[in-house]
Amino acid sequence: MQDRKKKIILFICNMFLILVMVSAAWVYSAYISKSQTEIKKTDFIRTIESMKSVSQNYLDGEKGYVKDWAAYISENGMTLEEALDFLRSINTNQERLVHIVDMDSYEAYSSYYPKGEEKIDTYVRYKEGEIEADLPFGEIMESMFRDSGEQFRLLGKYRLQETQSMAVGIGTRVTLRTENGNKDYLMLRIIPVEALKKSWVFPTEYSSAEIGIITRTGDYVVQSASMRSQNYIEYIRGYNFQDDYNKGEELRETLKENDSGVLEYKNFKGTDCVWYYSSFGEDSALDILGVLDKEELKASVDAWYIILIVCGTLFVLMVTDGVYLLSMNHRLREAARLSEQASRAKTQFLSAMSHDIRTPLNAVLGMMMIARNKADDPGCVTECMDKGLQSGKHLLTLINDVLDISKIESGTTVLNPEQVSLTEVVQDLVEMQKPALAEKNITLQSDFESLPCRYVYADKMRLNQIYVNLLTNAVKYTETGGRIILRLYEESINDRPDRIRLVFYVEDNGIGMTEEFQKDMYHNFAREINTQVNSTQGSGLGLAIVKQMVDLMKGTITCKSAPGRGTTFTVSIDLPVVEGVQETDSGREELNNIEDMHLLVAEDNELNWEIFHELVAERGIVCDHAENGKECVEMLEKAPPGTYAAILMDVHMPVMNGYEATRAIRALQDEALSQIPIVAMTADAFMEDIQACKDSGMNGHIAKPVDMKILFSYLGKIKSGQL
Amino acid sequence: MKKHFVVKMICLLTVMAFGLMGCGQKKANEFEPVLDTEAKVVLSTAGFFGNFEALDQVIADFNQYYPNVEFTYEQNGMENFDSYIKANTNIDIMMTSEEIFERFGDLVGLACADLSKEDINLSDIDEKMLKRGYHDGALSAIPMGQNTYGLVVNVSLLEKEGLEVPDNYEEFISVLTALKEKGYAPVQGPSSKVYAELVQDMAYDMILNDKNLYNDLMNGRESAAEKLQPVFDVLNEMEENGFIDPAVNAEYPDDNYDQAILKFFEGDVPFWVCNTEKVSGMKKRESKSEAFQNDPFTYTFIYAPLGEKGVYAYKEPWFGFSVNKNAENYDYAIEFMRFLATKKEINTIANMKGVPSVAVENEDNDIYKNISEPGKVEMEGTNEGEITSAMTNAWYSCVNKYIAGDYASDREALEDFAKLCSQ
Repeated sequence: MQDRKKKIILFICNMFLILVMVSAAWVYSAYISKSQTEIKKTDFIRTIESMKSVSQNYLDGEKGYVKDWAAYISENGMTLEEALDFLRSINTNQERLVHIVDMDSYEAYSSYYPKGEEKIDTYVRYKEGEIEADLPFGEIMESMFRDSGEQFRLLGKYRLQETQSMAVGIGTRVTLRTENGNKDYLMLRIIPVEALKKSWVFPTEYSSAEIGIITRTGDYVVQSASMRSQNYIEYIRGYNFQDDYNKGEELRETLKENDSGVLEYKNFKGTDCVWYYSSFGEDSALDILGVLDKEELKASVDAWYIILIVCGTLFVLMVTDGVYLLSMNHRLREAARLSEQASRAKTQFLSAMSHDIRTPLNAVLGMMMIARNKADDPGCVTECMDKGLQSGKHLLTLINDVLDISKIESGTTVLNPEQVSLTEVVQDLVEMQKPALAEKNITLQSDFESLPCRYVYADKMRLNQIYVNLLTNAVKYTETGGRIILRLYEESINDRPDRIRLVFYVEDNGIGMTEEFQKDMYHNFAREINTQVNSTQGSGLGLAIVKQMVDLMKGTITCKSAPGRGTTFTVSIDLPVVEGVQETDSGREELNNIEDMHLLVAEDNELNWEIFHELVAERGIVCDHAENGKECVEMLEKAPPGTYAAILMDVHMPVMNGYEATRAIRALQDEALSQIPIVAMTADAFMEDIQACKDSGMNGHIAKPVDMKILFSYLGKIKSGQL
Repeated sequence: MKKHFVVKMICLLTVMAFGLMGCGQKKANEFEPVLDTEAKVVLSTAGFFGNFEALDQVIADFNQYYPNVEFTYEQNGMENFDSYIKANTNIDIMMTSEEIFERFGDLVGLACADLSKEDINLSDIDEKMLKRGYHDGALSAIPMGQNTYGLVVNVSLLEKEGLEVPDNYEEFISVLTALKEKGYAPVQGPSSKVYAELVQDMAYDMILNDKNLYNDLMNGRESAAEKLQPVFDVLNEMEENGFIDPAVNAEYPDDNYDQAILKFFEGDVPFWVCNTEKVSGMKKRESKSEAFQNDPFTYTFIYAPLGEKGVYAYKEPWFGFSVNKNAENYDYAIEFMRFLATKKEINTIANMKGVPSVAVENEDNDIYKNISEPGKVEMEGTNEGEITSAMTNAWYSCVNKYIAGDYASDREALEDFAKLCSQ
């Protein structure tokens, strides 16, 4: 319930964060979009203003024409007829007309018509109100007539009598000669609206932009395609606030009171548009009017894209994080479970170790006490010592197994292949088990005949470990008077003549194993709960080590077993064959010639020295004792040449350790001394320890407790010069 | 052999049955573009209206099919139409009216294309309304709406006074009497129009429904005056009873479209004599009238209930659109007319303009519900060309002169009307 509540809170927090992120993205996008829109709007306004300048320049140019002509006509004292003749001849642009207006009567004369037909009533009709005009025609004409400076005044638009097209006029005063002397007239240059429109070319970036000119009361002077109706205010009213007529009046006031401004209204298609108006000048009463679809002002990057990207990213992150968290939780739970399992295993291990170490140790100590109490009974002492020795050996096996399995599990076990004599392996194996077989009266039927290749390349120690463990188990769990069949044979491997498959087969008719146990038999400390098994000494590590070793050698192991019917193990390992090796038996022979050897033993532990000294003394071997590496080196140097046949070197010693001492000896000038065989005799029994000894210059390695057979083997080799 | 004959007969009958079913179904007038929809074309149009939102709306709809077709619109006056046509020989689409055809007949006739010869489906338009668009056998224009004369009634005012909108002449007189007694000037309108327009539908329906009367009028016979006497009887009753107050109507805004509408919105005009053109501007001016905003009321448009049984329902088409024979973009101008002739668009242009539609299935604004489906009808008629502008002008002239006392009697006024019609 609590967990669910937390999940809901976590979900709400996540959703809140997402909401905050999305909102922030939206606000930011909106801000960017707004900024870009403002920039575009400013650009658009700048464009309209430049269009206004273009129009003013254009109209100023037109005004320049009419001023030049007026000056020429005035200076030359032309009559109306002469002036019209002149204008007809000089005004070659047929689209442009020239009107000369009598400002007293508003009667006018057009250069468009042929001589005698020039009189038009356009301005009279405006004056008399026959034609409605938004702008005060008379006022503008008077202003032009007075020519009061650089004012921008435009007359119109109005329909031309001559062409029926809409036009605007721009003019100045002209003096004509009449019968009653000179008289001033207004001369107007007439520009068709279409011609004015053509002077504007919008930059292509504004596809929807249009431009026009309106009077301050909204009437169009120049009207673009989407500027509908006859009046801009009516147009905007019609498409924006039909239900509120007075808003049109507000717009009218806005246009009147401001020189320029931005408006936002819909056009006749219902599209939202931005309208910009700007006055041509205080007295002009005209505004340029630009329009652009609001869509065109929108930022090119739509805010929704950003929001979608943010949402998408957040969603992906949320899903990824969720999956990752779930996965991590799963792994943590698994790790916790494994840790708990490991803890339980450790407890089980310690419990098992406590039991398995204390049991043989109890036997050793107990037998020692019995022997001491019955020191006057040599038979009893011997028996006690034998039993104690047996328990000690078991204890040693147990410790070796534990160390081995620890090393295997840490993944640091490496194989050290060497040339291995299969004959030796077989002999050692059988030899090793003979006492136990004899003790239990077990019949061993062995077959080692199918071994054409006598030598293989393998890690001898590990290979032995597999075979010994399996055979020891067979002996151990076969009842007195039982039978064991042992075979070691080779099988050829197709297409690989350089390799053989070495098959180890051991079958017993012992107590066998249940199917259930067989599933776990390769696990550490696996021992079947069985009264018979429980009465047998064992660590429960043997098969685990065997399996690991077989796997390490990329071999296979199979088992057939049934309770009460015995067990059969078959181990197959592919190994390279070593060809052309001559068999010798010198090593064994040499064992018999080690008496009288003089050894220098570097050992800091007095007890170990004493044991060693006693054991080798039985074989007639003489030993000198050095308490540390430095003393060892000094004794060697001081001794007469050829005194010592070899040095047995402990590793961990005070003052100077075994490695340093060895390197010091190897560095001696005297070659006879520096080449002396040195064999490590240490409790550091791992492979890397052996390698470290070799690296320091030692010639061999004997693990403590010292197996005298191995020691004597080494001494034999030294004696025979093989080492 | 006999079996084969039976099978053949069954097949033949089946085919005939399907054929007859097909004949009974009218083909829907769905617009499908036939020209290049991406082409950039500028169609020049000219019309009599300053603000022409109705046309703008149809253009906007047309642009959905032809987005690159741009329209320019120029306002021109009827009085200079001939000059305009001469100066703009390549204009694409022109707004026309019966008055234009009467004044500049030959010129306009020469300029307008015969739309009946183009591939335009006209089935959505009332056939009678189309007839007036024919000149010399050629369909010169497609009408954009109806021009109807009648009365705008202040329904709220009548209800306030415990009165109902009248359905026939008797009820009308009764309501007018009551209003008069309550101090209202019951029937209002500008003096120059109020009399003539009040009884116009009655007179025209009588002319349209009596061929002898029409012939008598066209020949200036006195018998026509006698037949039209009931119309003047109504006028006389209105005047004698003071239902039409000359002093009030002298002040009623005449040509000022805006002010005439605002005057009605003052709220004290029970019946305003006008036509649908005026009505079309009423809705959007509701917000302009302070009086109406402060005290809004309901109003409706009716035919004048001058008949014993009910109203005289008179219909005639209003302005139309013509295509210039010499149009710069003739094909696209015709394409636009094809589009305009569809039910949706012909209703749109009328509704937007605020006049009754000429569509067979019209979708008129609410204010025209009494026009589209008049309840009690005394007589009805549609002007298919019989009632000309000249006849209308003669009617206005004679009625106004009669009211002004320029004639010795109503008979003299009617005889003069007949005389004018025959000229």
